[in-house]
Amino acid sequence: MDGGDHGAMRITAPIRLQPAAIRAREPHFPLFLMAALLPLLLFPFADLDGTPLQRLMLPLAVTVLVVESLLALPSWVARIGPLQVNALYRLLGLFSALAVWWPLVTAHRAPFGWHVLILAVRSAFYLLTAVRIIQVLANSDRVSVRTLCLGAAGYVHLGLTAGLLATVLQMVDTDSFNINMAGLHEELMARLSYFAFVTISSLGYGDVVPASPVGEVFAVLVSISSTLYISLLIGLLLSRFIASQSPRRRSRQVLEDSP
Amino acid sequence: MSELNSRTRRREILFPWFLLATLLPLLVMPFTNLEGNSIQRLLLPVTALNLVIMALRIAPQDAFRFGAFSLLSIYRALGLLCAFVMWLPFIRGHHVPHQWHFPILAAISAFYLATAVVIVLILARVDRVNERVLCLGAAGYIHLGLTGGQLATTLEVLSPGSFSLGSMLPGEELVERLSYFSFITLGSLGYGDVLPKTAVAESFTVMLSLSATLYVTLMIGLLLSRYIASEVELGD
Repeated sequence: MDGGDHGAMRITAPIRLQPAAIRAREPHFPLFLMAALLPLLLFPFADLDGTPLQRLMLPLAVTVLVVESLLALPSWVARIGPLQVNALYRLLGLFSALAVWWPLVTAHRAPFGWHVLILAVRSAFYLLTAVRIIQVLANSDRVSVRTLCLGAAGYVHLGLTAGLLATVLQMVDTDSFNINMAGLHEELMARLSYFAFVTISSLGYGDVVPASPVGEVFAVLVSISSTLYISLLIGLLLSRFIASQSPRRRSRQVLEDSP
Repeated sequence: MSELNSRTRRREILFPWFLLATLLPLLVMPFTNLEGNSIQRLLLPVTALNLVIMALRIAPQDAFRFGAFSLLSIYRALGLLCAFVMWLPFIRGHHVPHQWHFPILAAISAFYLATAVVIVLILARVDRVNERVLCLGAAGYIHLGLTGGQLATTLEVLSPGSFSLGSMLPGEELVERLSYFSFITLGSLGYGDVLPKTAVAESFTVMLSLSATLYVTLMIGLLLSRYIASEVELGD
């Protein structure tokens, strides 16, 4: 992709990440995996209209995930014109981490318009995080157990992102998904995150199905991205992991590391 | 063989764009309406034309050569024909007459199938795998879904009632619903809201599911192992 010389709107996005920048963040990868799992563990107990403890669950999980995303992923150096992607990314994260506390502080949900805006901003943050995870995984030359943790976290994060996007879609157009919630006392986001995970793991129970053309294309895109994530990225990661474990590489590594 | 590979390498630069070209028809699908305003009518032919042109550009010279025969010119003619007939609804402002549907869909299906063969051919004999070739691997998966959708639509037009479409959504085209079905089958999701209803449709679904499973396991596995091999070679 050549950016061309368009002056201010020039997009500079070095795809190659420095291995040193990735290695510096490696200790955070297992923590990031746990942070990605936390919302899933807390979803059943979250209730935005319930007791303070129930209202605490979701903001807590989201804040931990946002903070861990900012800590675990190397900063962006890309710029879009005068805009620094890293500043935008941090701003979106900060807004998401703060806005999610609204129901707990005010004891009721945010007004509809605000609710959609807050979720849309969080979706943008999650999407950027997903892009960053893929860049880190594709560029990590020496794959360790910690890198594999990030690979697993990326899969969980993909499901969370898809669930969040589906919620935004459903709130904007209530006919997007047929959610079959009769008799279920559950948050919309919990239900659609369930749908997202049933879709990315290719289970497809069919109790939640898309019900509009946009919903259909959304389900297809989620399915394609999960298939390609698992087959291409995890395959790539695993084969690099095995390559770095092979005796020949190891002995060379020892020679390199010794002074 | 080496000359062939150097030609493939020159085409490599197109592979990421081909991936984009396969994604575009999918993305614009909810917004197309063959009887709507001119922008809604324009989306389908433009994305289809783009896909056809990209497919013709990545096809190797010897893709369809059998001894002295080469079917490449037939493949190209078929592609141009498809690109042309896609514009008919846009030019006329409404759907083409019903009796034209089957031949048009059959031509498009044939071209998509041949393109799928081209993609598999390129992937099977590429010796050095890089990120661009991996893009073609991803594009092949999406192209398989589009092809399945076209074939299912052809089947449904040829013998209506082949598929139980569930509650068709208002304003949704048949090809849209069946492309959705195709991708849901490809991803081994099987929600069950669209189902085959005749023996032919059933074996079509089985073959689609088989080809997707084999494509992902064999082709992507092969590509990845070659990718790692070329990485190790570069490292040494």
